[in-house]
Amino acid sequence: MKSGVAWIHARVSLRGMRALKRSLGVLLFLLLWEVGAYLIKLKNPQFHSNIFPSIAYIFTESLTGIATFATVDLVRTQQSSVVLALIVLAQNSVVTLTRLLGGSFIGIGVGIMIGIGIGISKLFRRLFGPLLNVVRTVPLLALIPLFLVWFGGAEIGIYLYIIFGLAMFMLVYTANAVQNVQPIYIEFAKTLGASKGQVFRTVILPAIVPELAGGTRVCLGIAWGITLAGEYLAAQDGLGRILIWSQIYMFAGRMVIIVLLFMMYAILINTVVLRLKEYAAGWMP
Amino acid sequence: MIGGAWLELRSKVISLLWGAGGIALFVVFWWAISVAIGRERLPPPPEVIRQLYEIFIGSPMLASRGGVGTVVPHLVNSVAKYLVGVVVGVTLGIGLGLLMKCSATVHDIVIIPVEGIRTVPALAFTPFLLLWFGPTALAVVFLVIIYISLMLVISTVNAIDNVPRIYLEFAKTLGTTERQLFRSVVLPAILPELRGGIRVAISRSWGLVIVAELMGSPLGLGKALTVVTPYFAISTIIALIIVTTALANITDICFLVATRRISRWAPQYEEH
Repeated sequence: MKSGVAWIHARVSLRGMRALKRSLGVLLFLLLWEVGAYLIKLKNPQFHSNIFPSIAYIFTESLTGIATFATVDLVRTQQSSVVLALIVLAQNSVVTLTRLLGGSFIGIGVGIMIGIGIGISKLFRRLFGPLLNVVRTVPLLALIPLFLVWFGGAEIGIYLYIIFGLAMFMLVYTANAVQNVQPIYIEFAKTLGASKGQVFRTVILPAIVPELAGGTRVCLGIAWGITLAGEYLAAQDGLGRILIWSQIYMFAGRMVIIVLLFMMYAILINTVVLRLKEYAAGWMP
Repeated sequence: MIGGAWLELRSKVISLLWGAGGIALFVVFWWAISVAIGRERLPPPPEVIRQLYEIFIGSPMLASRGGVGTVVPHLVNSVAKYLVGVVVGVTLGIGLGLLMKCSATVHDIVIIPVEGIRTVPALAFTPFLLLWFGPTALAVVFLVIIYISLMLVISTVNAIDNVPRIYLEFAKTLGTTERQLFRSVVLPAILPELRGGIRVAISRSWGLVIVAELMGSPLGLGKALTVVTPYFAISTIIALIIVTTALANITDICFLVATRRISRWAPQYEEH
């Protein structure tokens, strides 16, 4: 076996070798999945597809099964289940993504503004610093029942929740970033005669952009979890709701499809944020 | 007192007073809003404090709908799930991370599934766990394990990558073997960074425990929340949230104190 590997090593380039191993990882995962599905099938012949479906089942039955989430008028216009299912997925994706991105945008914006305020103003820091430190430690997901009772399942509740959570996080992050700006930059600008406003605009703001970009990436990760939690417990539509109702009726295949969609969206959004960061923070050496 | 120590004490007391002022402002603000929009929508602080007291000594509301009389069994149950999940998750995560760094093959095979699963928020797995394990404690524990191990695998790999090369090369000039290198250079070098990563992971796990319990669990703080929510008893909900926050802070402080020795050697400043 060892000489065999060495033989392969000698003939395939190193990059090729690593690519091979990487795809091996994915294949291994899929293989394990199929084995698992098979074992469950043996153990539970009646419901196996509901608990742990095989990959083929997921992409046929479960996909068309999602069509059951279509609204009544939609069902009238479409005959094909697959198309219906895809439309359902698209519609709900839009809903979930709007919540996610809209809430994130506002939440991060609010957080940055307050964070800058706290970073700059010593008075603010002394007065509200400890308070914010305490509020920050509240586990975000534990606040869901509170928002649930306050807003019911209303859209505004979900949005406010996302905004609150992200603002809290971004606030601390931004305040930190502002305070971490190298004093030498600020002093240098002042020796050139910059006013406070100018210092803020031309030194502090650009200097914190890279850190804020990093914070934004983390925020988006958090926002996913928050949006999902909100959809699990309250929402009338969206991918999270499909996920939870599929679980209640025990359709694991549909759940897998939704999770795959999540993966896709998360990777997409991450890539976009990375590109934006490269563009905005290009000045950093 | 010597002049320097006195000044230090004075400044600490002053910042304490400022902070207390901020908190007092918050409480006043809360009270004002409570009066303005009505007690049902936002209970005033005294009511919340009263509920905080009641849930510990015995509350009929908690006892109804399948709950138990006080919050204590729920509390203990949640803490137990949390601790088991955290211990197993941390061990698994760091172990797998170390393994990945020891063997390039393992690294290349495992990296894509791990990174792929990591893109999905941990909550997305809760329905699967509920489906496979039912509304039991096992589902909650597994959720924590999955989340923490995924976080820490990447953390560990990154930490090992970040060990300054100079440490490794210096040790090699002294003639260390691979094993000694690992044990006496790499491991101590990654501990401070790992400490930070573990701290973040375990604090976020509390939220996961609560939500997973909300979605289905016979016992636990999340379950207590589901019992109370239909009554719109906001003061009790807030009280339970305060209990959860206190627990999260306690575990955080315990972790920090227990691992304080780890960061002692590190030259960089330690943010507490």
